[in-house]
Amino acid sequence: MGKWVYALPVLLALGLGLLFSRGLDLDPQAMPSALIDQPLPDVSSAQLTGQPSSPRQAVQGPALVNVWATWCISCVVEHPFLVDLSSQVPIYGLNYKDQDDKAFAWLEEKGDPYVLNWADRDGRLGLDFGVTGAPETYLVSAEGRVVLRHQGVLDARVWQAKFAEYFPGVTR
Amino acid sequence: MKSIALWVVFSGWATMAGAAVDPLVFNSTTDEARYKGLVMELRCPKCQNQAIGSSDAPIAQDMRGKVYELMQAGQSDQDIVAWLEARYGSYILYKPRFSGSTLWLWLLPPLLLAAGAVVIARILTRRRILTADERTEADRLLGLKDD
Repeated sequence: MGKWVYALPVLLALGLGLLFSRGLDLDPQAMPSALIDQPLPDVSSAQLTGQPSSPRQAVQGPALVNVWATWCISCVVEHPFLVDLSSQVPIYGLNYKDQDDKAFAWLEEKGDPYVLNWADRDGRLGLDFGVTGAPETYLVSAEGRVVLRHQGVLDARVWQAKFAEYFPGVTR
Repeated sequence: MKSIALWVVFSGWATMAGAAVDPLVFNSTTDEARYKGLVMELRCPKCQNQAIGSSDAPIAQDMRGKVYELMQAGQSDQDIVAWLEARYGSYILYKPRFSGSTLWLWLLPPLLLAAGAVVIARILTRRRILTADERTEADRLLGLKDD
């Protein structure tokens, strides 16, 4: 062994430093959806109106599936944007771990941007979507596959950054 | 004394926080042990650095419920983990699978261990015992023995 062994600790420290500095930029909360490039779950699920339907059969892309609830504060924030957007983009709702009467009252009061709503009272459909909380928004392509999942509020800024490119005709 | 009291308080608190309790009925103690093992092996998607077995987040509760339900339906541990992985991705596995992107996770520790063993072995073999001739020569140089 020559003198190069003395450079080894320095090289190691530099390497680790690079690794850790990269780690500083990563969002540890960001969790990739397992549904990306997959079709929506094919499970018969009750809608708010009563009759059951399967998300895979019901959602006609390109469209959004929005996970929301009346207990979710951020959903109050994004709701006006969804109402505005719904004139140009079909939005399907997944009313997550909520009560039907509260959901109806919310839609009555704030406007209803949804084509239809699944009433996921116990979070079972949410598990099939891999939902981690509300709000979450899934973008479904014309071929019926999930293109991306956004966790958190969907607003004009997020729309421009993530969704706009898939809806060329839609201006926000 | 104060620090001991604090330690007692906080260690008790930590154990309480570490176990999320659901009133579940198991067919056997083996099943219960299986369930407890499984929920500690799955990572909560909403709460970093916590297993679904130690988190009170609603999503962790739902996932525990699903683990229990699938277990009662007679599914194996692999089936249950695969069910959740299909929906939440490899993010939720505290025991990552042995595959391309996780290769270094699995291989680095044994490699480092082997490297350490090599270093120690080298140090030990260099510290060799002197032959009889060398010893006499060394003694002579050190002036320990008169010729």
